[in-house]
Amino acid sequence: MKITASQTDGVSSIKIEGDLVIGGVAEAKPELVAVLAQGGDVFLDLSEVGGCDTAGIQLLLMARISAKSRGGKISVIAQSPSFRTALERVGISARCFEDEEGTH
Amino acid sequence: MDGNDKHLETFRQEADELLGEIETVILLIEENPEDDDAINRLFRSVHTLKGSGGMFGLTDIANFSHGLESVLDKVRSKKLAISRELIDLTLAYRDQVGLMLHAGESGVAPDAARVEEIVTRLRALSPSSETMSDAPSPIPSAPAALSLPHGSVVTYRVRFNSHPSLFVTGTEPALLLDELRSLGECAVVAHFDDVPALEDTDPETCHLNWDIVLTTASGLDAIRDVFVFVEDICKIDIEDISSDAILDPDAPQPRLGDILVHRGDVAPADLHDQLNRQSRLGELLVESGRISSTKVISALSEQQTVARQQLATKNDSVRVPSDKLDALINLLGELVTNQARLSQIARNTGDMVLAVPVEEADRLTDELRDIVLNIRMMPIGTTFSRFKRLVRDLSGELDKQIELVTEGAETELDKTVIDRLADPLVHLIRNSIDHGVEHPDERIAAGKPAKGTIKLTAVHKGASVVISIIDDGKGLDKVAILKKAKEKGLVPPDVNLSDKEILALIFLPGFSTATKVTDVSGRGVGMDVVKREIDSLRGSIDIQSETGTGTRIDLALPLTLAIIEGLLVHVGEDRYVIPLSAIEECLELTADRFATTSARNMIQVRGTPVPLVRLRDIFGLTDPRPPLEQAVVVDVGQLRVGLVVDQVIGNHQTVIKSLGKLYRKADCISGATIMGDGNVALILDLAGIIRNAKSDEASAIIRNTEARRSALV
Repeated sequence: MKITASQTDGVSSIKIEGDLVIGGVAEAKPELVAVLAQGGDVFLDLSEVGGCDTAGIQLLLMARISAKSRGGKISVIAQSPSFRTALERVGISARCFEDEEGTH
Repeated sequence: MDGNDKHLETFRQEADELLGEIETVILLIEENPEDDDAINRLFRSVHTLKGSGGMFGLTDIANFSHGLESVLDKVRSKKLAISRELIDLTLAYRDQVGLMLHAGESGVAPDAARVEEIVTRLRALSPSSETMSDAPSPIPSAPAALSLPHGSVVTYRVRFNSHPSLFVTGTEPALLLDELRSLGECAVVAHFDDVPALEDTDPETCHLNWDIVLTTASGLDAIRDVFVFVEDICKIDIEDISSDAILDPDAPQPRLGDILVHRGDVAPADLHDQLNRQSRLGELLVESGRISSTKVISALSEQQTVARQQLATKNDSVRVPSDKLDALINLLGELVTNQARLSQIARNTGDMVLAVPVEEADRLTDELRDIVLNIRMMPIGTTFSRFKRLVRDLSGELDKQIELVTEGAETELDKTVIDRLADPLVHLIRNSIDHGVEHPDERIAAGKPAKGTIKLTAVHKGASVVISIIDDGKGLDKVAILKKAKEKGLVPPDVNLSDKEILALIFLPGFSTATKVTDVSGRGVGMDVVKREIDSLRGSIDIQSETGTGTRIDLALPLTLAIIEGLLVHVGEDRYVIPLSAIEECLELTADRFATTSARNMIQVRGTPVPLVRLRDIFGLTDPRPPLEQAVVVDVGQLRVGLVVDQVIGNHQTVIKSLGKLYRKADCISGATIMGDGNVALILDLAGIIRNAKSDEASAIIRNTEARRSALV
């Protein structure tokens, strides 16, 4: 898993490339926490995500909660077909990452 | 063995439906290859056919289906594009499986060489050969989509509460969920409200829980087996919810609140409290923080599954042998007749105490009649979809480009009418393809688009349904028709006919204008058969054609064959019923009606001469005529005729009773009905009356008098 973070106009962007799986979540945590600690909204680019498992999705859910607790939100701006399929398999609505209000 | 045969029969019926679905869907895909939904439907149908074929030991069907399924799986995953070849092969597959299914009854064996050829060509479509041996999905032990009578289909609610160490033990929950999905129809909702913020937790621990609603025939043990490696650390609750009241097909659709209470997600008191505030329950519960939004989403998905299943249960229970329905209709006829009698008696006695309940019974009988007749109603769309295939195959054969557009597929008609309509419609559409729509180059030369259109529509019009076949072809050649009719001696050589009359000539027996006989049509039999069949359904045909722009054929058919609206008339001692759909108007035959014409048997109706047919003559009644007779003007086919009767009585809901074998030759009568007072009235067959009036009168009169007497005795 490769995580690239960037920031423009107070909005953080995170691009995740490669496999989003259990083997990489522990390693990814500090990188994500660092971005989230800055607060504000985060754009997630998942267009280059390859394999994706339940733990990988849970990692993003955890990041979403973190962002929320700081008053920000995480929006997925691009996603690969394999990520979408993985969401479906695990039984999570794709809307969950589209818009914070969308879950209600 | 007996039971097994019964199951096999059920399988055949369902397989036939699946084949119908396959045909419909592949033609949809042909029109729009990007239709993912249709591709998935096609895949599922083939998959189900494979699975259930295997279950019944029909390995030829299972293996054959497997080959197609492998290719379709590639299409589904976008590794292969839809091609003309694939569509042709799918249709060929559908035909061969149809033969395999019915080889025992029809005696037509499937063509083994053809099957082999299709399999080889399918294999050639698939880019790599290994995929053919590699099953895209396992043959399910009991496909959930196919409701077989023995394996009972049960809906379970599975609550899968995970343990934080789940991931660490090497379990991937998504795989478990996939396994559940392979058992049957499955709705999965994950709960992630307990997921902590990233900085507070180890992301390798699992904080997700799942609610699954699964409809399967595989049984509880199969579900438990899925969780066998995790049940020590996770909490798995499996509950059969199909036996609950909420799945009772008679019960109304379960309410969200009931489900939430049932699942223990919310206390009944909380629910009651919220309901008093009258708003959308799910939103309110979430707002008030009583439960989480995912819990509501999960319950909502359960609500949908249950509702769908109720619908399925209802749909499953409609298979009734049609003779039972016929018996019901017959009985209903008796009831309607008897009710009419009762009402008449109540009116005659003028007793108010009697009148009120009789009126109520009247209303109930009417309602019952509508409902029972409605049971036999089927959407005509089932026949329409057959024609898509016909048009596709024939236009390919004749090198024409034709699109079939259908409208009003949901229009309902009596099942008997639909069944008997299929052949005439096939014939008319074949004619349009063969004689109507031109070859593309011819069309372009005439300034039309290369692709011809045949439109097939059905609409309700009063008590009948009008089915129209409209093509944008070259139209009927009226000059050629008239010339041919004169050559054949069907029309005297020096007569002048209107356009309408010329077009009606094509319905004469032995008439065909096609200069060369093709496979498709033009054998000179057909249009007269079509006409006869439509007549026997008490329908009518109207044909309009404009040279160069196309032909339109309208078939007007009664909604049902069991009950018609009729006009009751009096002649002598007897009463007759004239089908209301044919009646244009009623007139009094005053002396001045005849004044403008010199003939005794002709009157002027708004400037048009109308010939009169005296029912008194037709039925050989000799008693004296009343001083003032009445005429009922009817429109039969292309002819307007005035039927002379003693008196018009009024509208009559006529329950048709067919006459016995003895009276089958009674040409002027199509049936009989029993009146409210217990007397019999004969229903007039208008086409027969006109035939009779034209032909040898004396013999017809004798024949029909006899029939009438015997029918009434």
